[in-house]
Amino acid sequence: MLDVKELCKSFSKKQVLNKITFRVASGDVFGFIGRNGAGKSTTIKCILNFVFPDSGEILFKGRSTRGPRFRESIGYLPEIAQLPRNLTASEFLRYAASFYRKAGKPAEEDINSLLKDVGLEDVKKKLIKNFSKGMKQRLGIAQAVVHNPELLILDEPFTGLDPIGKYGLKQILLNLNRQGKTIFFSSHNLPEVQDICTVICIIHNGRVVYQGKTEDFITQFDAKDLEEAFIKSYRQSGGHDV
Amino acid sequence: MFNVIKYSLLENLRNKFYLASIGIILFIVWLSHYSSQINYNYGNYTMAILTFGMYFTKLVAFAFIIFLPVTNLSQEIETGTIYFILSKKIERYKYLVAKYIAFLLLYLTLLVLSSIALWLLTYVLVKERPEISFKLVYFVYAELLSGAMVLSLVFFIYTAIRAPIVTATVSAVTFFFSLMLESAKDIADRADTIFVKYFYLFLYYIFPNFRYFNLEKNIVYDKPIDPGYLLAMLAYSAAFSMILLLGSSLIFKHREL
Repeated sequence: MLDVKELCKSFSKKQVLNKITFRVASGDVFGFIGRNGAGKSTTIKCILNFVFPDSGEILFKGRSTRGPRFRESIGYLPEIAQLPRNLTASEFLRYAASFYRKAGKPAEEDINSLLKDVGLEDVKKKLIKNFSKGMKQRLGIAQAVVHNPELLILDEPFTGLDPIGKYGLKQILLNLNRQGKTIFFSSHNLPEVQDICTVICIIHNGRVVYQGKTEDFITQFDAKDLEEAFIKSYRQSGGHDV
Repeated sequence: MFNVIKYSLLENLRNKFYLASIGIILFIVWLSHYSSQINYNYGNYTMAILTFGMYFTKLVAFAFIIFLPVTNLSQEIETGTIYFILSKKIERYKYLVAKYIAFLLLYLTLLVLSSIALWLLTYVLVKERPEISFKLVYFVYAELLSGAMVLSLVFFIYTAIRAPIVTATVSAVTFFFSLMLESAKDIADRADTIFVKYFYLFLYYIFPNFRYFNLEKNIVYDKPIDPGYLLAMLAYSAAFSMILLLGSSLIFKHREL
């Protein structure tokens, strides 16, 4: 579904991405893992054309991601982005839906049903500036799926959430995957990744060091869980602990 | 694009800076009632109120048209709100133009509110020379056109350098410098050397001339306003704003976020 080939990007002569290549297949819950500064967000920004790669190719179903058709097919949740503070939850979802509707207003029941799915139905008329981090994250997911996209791209969706918030978000993501959506997300919250990802891709210092099934990676490093396997892989690739 | 205009308006109508600007403008209008005591139009309430009211409305509206767009645009980009919008099916230039229109409409609401308040004060309360206060529509027209130019300047500078404080400062300096352009023309006309002459002529033509948009004296002293002049103002403002908006759209299109 999504092919990233030989992607390179540098900022001020510092190479951030070095020939990144991976493939996200339809129906996957794909975990994109790496330390802070490994290049996860830059890769996502390249996919979405917020940052322009120096070289390489990004294809969605065999076509370039530069056209508007790509953005019809994806939903995106940025990392630690601030939602419009002075809009209410339902206004923001109507705003997000308005980019895709062909004619007329988006159905109120669709918006309500989406707010119900993410547990925000009771606060739909509340201004976003009064929301907690977890509520904002759930609203962020709702705006990403408002137009029923095939692929969801989420940048660090678990960051800053408490255990209940993480559990709730995991359930939402698994539910969306069951509905047929492909989910691509970056994270360094490895227990969550292990719980929900079928496939992972690990990058260290702008290079892909592993892509494949989560359990195969754990077995390969003879580890008890993904976190231990990740640390072993990191040390093996020459990384330092601090 | 209309959805971006609509929701930007909705969001900014709840913005504290916008609400504060309305409050300040209405306070100024109320205060202008007392200006006939100190104004050079002593004893002539309508003239005094309009002179004072329009002058200070201009100042507040000018601060508004620079600071609200700068803070709003920089916040959207720096805090990542823009990612939510630009990951949707919208071209970057449409987003920018929609924001421009939304800010201009907000600016218009300030001018209209101020004019209605001034009209109420002069026409309903004072009932002295009511025909003058009807001419406030020219004030709104001229200020809207000059506001459109300032706003396009703000957009251009911000997209080019992405530094909010520098953008606000450069825009304000450009505005105040442009009010003195007639002096540059005078110097050019009287210059002895060709270099000085063309340097000042260059300044005269390259800077926007906001003096063209000053109709206050015509309004206060009930002087006739040539319709051809009103059209020329529109053409000048539209050409200037469109060139800068086109430039900022091109820059924004090729800018990494």
